[in-house]
Amino acid sequence: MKHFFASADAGMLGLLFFFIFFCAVTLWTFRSGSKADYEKQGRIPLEENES
Amino acid sequence: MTVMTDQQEPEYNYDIVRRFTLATVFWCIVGLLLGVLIASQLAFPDLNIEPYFNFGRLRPVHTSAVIFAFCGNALFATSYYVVQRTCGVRLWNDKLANFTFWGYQLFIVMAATGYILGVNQTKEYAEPEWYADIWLTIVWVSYLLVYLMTCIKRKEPHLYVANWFYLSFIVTVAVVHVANNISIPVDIVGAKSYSAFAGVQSAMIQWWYGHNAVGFFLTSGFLGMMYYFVPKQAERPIYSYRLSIIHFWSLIFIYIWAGPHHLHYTALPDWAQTLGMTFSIMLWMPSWGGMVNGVMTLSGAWHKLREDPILQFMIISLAFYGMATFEGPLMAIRSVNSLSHYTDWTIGHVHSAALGWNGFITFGALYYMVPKLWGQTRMYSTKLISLHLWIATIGIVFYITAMWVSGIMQGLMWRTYDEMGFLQYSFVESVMAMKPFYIIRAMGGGLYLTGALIMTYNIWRTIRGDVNVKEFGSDQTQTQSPQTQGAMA
Repeated sequence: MKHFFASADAGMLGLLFFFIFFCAVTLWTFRSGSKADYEKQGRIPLEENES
Repeated sequence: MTVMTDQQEPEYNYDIVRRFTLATVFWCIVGLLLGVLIASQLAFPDLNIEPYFNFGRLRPVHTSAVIFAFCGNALFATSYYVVQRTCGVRLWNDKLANFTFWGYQLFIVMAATGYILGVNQTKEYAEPEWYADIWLTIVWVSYLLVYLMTCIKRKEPHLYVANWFYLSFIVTVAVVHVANNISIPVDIVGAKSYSAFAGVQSAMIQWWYGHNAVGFFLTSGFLGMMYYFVPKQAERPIYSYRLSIIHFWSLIFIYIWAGPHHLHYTALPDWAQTLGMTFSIMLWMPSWGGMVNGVMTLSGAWHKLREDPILQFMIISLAFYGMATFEGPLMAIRSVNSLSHYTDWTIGHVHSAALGWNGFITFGALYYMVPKLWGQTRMYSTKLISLHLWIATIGIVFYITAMWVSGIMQGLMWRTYDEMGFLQYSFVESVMAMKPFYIIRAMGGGLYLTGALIMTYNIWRTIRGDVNVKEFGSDQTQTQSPQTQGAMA
């Protein structure tokens, strides 16, 4: 374990991990059918009960 | 999606929101008053009263009063309001929620009394000593529990994005607070402790904490506020819900790395400085994405901005957010930092964010919430909201322009050499040159405080159920039907 964190590749692996994760999340938000879901979810504050 | 009729209306816990709202207003005045006082102390050193009320001891009282007391209570108030309304359930566990209120106020008092008595662990924004830190950890874990349990038992299937921002704020603040404050008390009955970390590691952990206090306490939490109150006040959904998700993930992933930009030209290794600088510049994208998302919510309804001073507060706050998040990464660039660091430019930058962004979005949220919380139809006076807006805006402009000029001048004076290679100016010459700007700054702060006092008056009259007859006519009734009021109490 200690060897892994001392490795010169650790930084690059971390960078790749975060970059890929970010790209995946971004692509995921564009999945088919997401538009209608997002429009509905965006209206949550407006459709709550007014008291 | 849960569609509830009036009969199914859950009985929200507004009591706790009301308490935190009043605390927000109270600490706002205290924090701003202290700000004006210490700004005046810098301009007129005779105002320093040794040893308890000198600048050195009052400065952390001001920063903590504004960040943790004013902004912190505003975050508690709005998060408890937003989580109930967007989840469609009552806040989990009234007793624990009450404990977070009294516990948090006690923490503020513990911290402030410590500073005045000279008890201070000398870490910026983490000044409270170990006993107050442990107490805050207990309060904060309770806050997380109340918030999380409310989210878990929600009736709305989707957790609205404002709650994601609030949750990331609560979780991250807990993590960085605990890590940065690991220390060993000298004595179990004494206040003094020593940090578990030493040297540059201690500095790095401190600014990892410090920058995430900015990133999560003053940004992420307040973006939660923005994602709820801007759509509510504009009566339109957020411009792009998809963008809000990308905004969220990119902001939290990037912010956590930006801390080392506070340590340029120090013993911190170059690679770590470069890392902090790079991630700070990358923050431009999520910050501006979020700002655009907020402002564009008004797309197609810009006329509302002309008439509604509450919306003006919110949109100006986003403009300041955009400006401060442009300026911050700029100052994180090493070569710019060599000029700006340790100068008043930093102070100006922080205040354009704190007064413009945090202050204004909070005022907008307060003006939105207060009539609803106390069963009134509207604020006592719209004209007073408008007056507050303009006095405060002018105050901020005075403040930040004075600090830009003073800061850049100070930085340039420190690095000017004569033809012999000696420094052109002594330190005291740079201090003397700053005096007029210190006076302008104190005036700007005074204006901002005046605006907040107008707000306090307006809120007080609203809570009393008064109507401004000149504005709304005498036939207007402010208080809603007793049933409604009873349900809200």
